[in-house]
Amino acid sequence: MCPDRGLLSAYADGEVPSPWNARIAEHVAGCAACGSALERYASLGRRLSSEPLPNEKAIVARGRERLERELAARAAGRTAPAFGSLPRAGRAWGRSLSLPLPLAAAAALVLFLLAGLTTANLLAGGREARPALAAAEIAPEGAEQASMERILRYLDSQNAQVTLTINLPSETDFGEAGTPVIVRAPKVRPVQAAEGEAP
Amino acid sequence: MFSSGGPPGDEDLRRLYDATAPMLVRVACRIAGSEEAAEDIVHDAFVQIVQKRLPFPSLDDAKYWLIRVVKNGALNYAKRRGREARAYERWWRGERESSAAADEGLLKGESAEELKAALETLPEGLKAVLVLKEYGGLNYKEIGRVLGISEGNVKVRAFRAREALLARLGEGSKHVS
Repeated sequence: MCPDRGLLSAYADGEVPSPWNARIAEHVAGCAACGSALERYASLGRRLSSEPLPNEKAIVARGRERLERELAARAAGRTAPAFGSLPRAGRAWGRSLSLPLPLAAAAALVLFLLAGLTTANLLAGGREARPALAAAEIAPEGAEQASMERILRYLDSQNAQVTLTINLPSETDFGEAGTPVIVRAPKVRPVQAAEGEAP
Repeated sequence: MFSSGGPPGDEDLRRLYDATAPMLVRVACRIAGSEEAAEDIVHDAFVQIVQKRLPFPSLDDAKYWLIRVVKNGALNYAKRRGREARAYERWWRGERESSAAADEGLLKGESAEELKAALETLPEGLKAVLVLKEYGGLNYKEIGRVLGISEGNVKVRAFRAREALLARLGEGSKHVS
């Protein structure tokens, strides 16, 4: 039985692994059909690769010159001109910078925004000096730390006839996003502790 | 070579060029069907490495990258140029076959031209495999790496490409086993 043509094609490319390699060779030697098929594949390869590319050497040589120009251009820190001679080296500082108009506009906008942000940050730094919020004492039964529950109980007992001011922590600090720090870290002792002391 | 694993230096690039350029030019030329285009396609691939300072872990990686880029560039070029060119070629071959069929010698003499024309008409996937095999001198494993397909797939494509080419040349096998 003949190997299929796909296998012969792979065999022609030397891509058949070792034990099969020899078996196919043996078969092809004694089988005219497979022999001619193999010869067709092999001759196709020969004809393709023998087809001359007369200018190959010249093309490769020209490409090498162009590569050298690219390398010189890279060394000089600039991209090569599409046409013309070697770029002069060491002129990185003297050359002028040219930008397309939309790019220049975008750059200006970015600079403007950066300047704005920086200014805002500087101003935010100054905000810390602002005086702490107005404060007065709430001293229900002399307790310094008041839980909301105790405050409400106190108000209830006084029949709400009392002036109440809530003293916010003096280091009030409003974050950049406007979230007051006090919300996140109230300087109030846990209710349980306060309740536990009372009785 | 490429010991740093970073972008190749000037010497690395020269070595890479000398090692790969002849093969790349052949491959590009066969796929694009134009020497001028091939020269530019190969050059553009190297320019990318130089200007973007592309890093390659090894010379081989750079080589496969180059083959892939050149192959794609050449295929794109062939596609751009393709439709009208194919129409001309079909007409030209038809014309020649009818006029020169009587003259066997002439037909033999032009067989290289004919082969090239037949190669142009192969589907992309088959053409790429055959060109990389016959002009690039790559083995199945390398071709698979360049094209992003399995070795088995390369084997099948190489076979189909040959059969299609032989059929177009009127030399196909008479029976299919």
